[in-house]
Amino acid sequence: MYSLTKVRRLALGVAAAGFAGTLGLLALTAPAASAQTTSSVGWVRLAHLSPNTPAVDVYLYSFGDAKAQLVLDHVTYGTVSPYEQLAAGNYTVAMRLAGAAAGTKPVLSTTVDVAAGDAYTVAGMGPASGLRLTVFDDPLTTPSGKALVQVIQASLLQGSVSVRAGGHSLASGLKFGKATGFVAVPAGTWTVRAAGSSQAASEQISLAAGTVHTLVVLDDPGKLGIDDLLDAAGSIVAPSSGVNTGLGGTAARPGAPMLPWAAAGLVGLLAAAGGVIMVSRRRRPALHAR
Amino acid sequence: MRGSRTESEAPRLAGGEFLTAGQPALPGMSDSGLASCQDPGRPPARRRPGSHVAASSLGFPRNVRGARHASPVRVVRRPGAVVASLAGLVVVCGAVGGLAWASQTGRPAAAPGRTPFVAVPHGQWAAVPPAVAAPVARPVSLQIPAVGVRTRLIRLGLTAAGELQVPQSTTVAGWYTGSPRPGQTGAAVIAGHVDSQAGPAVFFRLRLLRPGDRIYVRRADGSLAVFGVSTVRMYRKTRFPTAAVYGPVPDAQLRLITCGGTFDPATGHYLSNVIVSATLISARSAKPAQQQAAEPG
Repeated sequence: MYSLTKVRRLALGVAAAGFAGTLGLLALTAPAASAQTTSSVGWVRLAHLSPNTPAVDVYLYSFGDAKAQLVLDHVTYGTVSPYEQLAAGNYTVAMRLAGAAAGTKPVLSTTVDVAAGDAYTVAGMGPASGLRLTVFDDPLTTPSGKALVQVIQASLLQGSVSVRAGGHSLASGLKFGKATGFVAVPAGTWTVRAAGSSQAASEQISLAAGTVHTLVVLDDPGKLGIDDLLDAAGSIVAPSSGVNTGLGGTAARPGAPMLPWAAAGLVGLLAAAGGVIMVSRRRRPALHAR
Repeated sequence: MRGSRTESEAPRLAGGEFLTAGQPALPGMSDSGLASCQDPGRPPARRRPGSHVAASSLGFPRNVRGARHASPVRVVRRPGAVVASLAGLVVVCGAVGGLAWASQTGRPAAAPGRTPFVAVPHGQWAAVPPAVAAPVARPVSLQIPAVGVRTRLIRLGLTAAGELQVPQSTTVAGWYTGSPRPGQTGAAVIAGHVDSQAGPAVFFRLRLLRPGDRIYVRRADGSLAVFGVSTVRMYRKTRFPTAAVYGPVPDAQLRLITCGGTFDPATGHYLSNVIVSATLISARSAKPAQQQAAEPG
């Protein structure tokens, strides 16, 4: 029965090849996944919010790099830089008196751990005698239809201030050198009023939905001032779901399915092989009979 | 007995001691496996001690009654098996033809082809992005020389269902009026079609953009905002990155949106979106380069 075994093996081989081919066809038609890379940048901005501290040079170093990545020259009180896009990682922020050599020991320094997709404000805060660098983690998400607002009290002349936006209280008895943290405020244009013990300031400030603001209460020479910083902005309303921007005129169009044909071919092969086996088997016993 | 057989023996043979009915037609295969290949009118898989090899050399078993090894009368003993073989071959040929036909019915995705020439715009350029949002004129046109895009920008709002409107025309792109203006703090959103029903549309080559490619947005006051591509990605619409596209960002960015991936003929829509992110390129308020270079390193 060797020959019969051969025939069977042949039939099994044909069947296996058929199945393998079918699997191969299926694998070819499966859609390829698109490769994605991850974004790895964060943002940092630098601010001088210490009223009686003279102008400074602010240096930003990537951790372990002696060469400054960014230098802001002659930064005076009330100055806030734009956000700088940085690769995620550790950074050192150092302040030197304006004009001091880059190699001299800084007056102040602090480290910032920049996470991808996050924004930070590094601000010199407090009086000159107690100057410190504070790192704020600035939010980049807002509740639907609202703005996020925080108040930084940087007025030395008014020891504490209270701030309202229309009927909404943003800060109450906020001490010099402190910040409130971010609170949600309904979108709209508000009369923002900051009041200290002896002075007050008022500004019309538009707080759009999807925006993040920092309101800095400052000593404007001789009077109180409010500086409205737009920390971040997004769409007023985020549209739902994806965007249907294609009608298919250039799309790959799938052909007629191949699987039924492959299956039919396989059945045909099996039938043919079976028939051949039946016919050939007829004569084999005679060989052994001899 | 061996080597010859008489007619008188036939009934005994037929009676069954040499019959193998009930045995598997093939070792390891059940009866049902090839049962249909056998002629029901004849005993299957008979063992006949006297048969010659030559008698069935063509695969046609001999008639029992006429079985003499000297003068075999060839009669098709198992037409079923032969028919099955032939039918199987016919089916295989048909299937091969079918596969060949099916493989020709598809259509590959249109190739991007050659990028049309679009000159780099010139004119008044965008200023340094301010820390406080300053008024910026609305965008009126878009140019991306790297992929041959030059289009005016229409305004897009929201549909009644709260989805982003798309341009009626497939040849223009649109700026979503609910997003920041290009060059303002925040991510300005511009959408355009990848194709029409007939062929390529305004953003057909968008997915070919690479990091660093320049995008120019002309604004109503004639100023020009210049962006550099940071990422080009594709997302399933069911997993659209809403926060990353429409959420707040601290600098001036751009999001270009079109379709990509697999087209679903049932819905008439693509299953994915291609999203290009770009950042405003501008002079920064940092020290000029030569001063940084002068630092002790």
